Amino acid sequence: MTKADLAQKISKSTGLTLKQTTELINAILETLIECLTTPGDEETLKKQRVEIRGFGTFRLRHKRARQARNPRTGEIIEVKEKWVPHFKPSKKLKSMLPDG
Amino acid sequence: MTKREIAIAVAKKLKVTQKTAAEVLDALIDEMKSALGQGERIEIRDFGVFSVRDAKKKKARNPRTNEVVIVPARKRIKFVPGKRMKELAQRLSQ
Repeated sequence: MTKADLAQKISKSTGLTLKQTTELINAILETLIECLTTPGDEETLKKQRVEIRGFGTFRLRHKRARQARNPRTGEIIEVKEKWVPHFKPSKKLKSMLPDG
Repeated sequence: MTKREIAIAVAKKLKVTQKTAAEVLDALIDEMKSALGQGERIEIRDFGVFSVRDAKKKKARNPRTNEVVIVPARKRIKFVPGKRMKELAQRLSQ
């Protein structure tokens, strides 16, 4: 399923035009991304979250700097610390999955 | 941020009513839930991909009683952030 498929279904159920629906979906997703990635100090970033009841929570996870190896050349590479978006599905969403 | 706050921000941005924004947001979440409930993959460019994967059965331990329990094989949801989300997140550490 793609964004276009979602837009089509939502446009049907809400009665809005496809164009309006697409605009709204884009704005919703963009708002979510911006909110999650608003710059701040480490403490702030750790607390930053977008919680959608019944669906799940988006948060940032901090990854420490580490050494890694290029598996082809064996060369050691320094990987810098970074923040990675993480989605945790809600219990309700998990319970909706096929067989359990 | 919660659903309500997203709706408020979107209404402001697009000059639509909060009700319209909330309606589309609810519909979006509902559609995504039912797609995932059917085991379908959802790909949203720049945002990310949600997919339903198999998780093998595994042994776990009840931390209170130390008893070993078997967690049965089940489905789980995997989210891989898309390009834009990932890039904005990575920029935070610079």
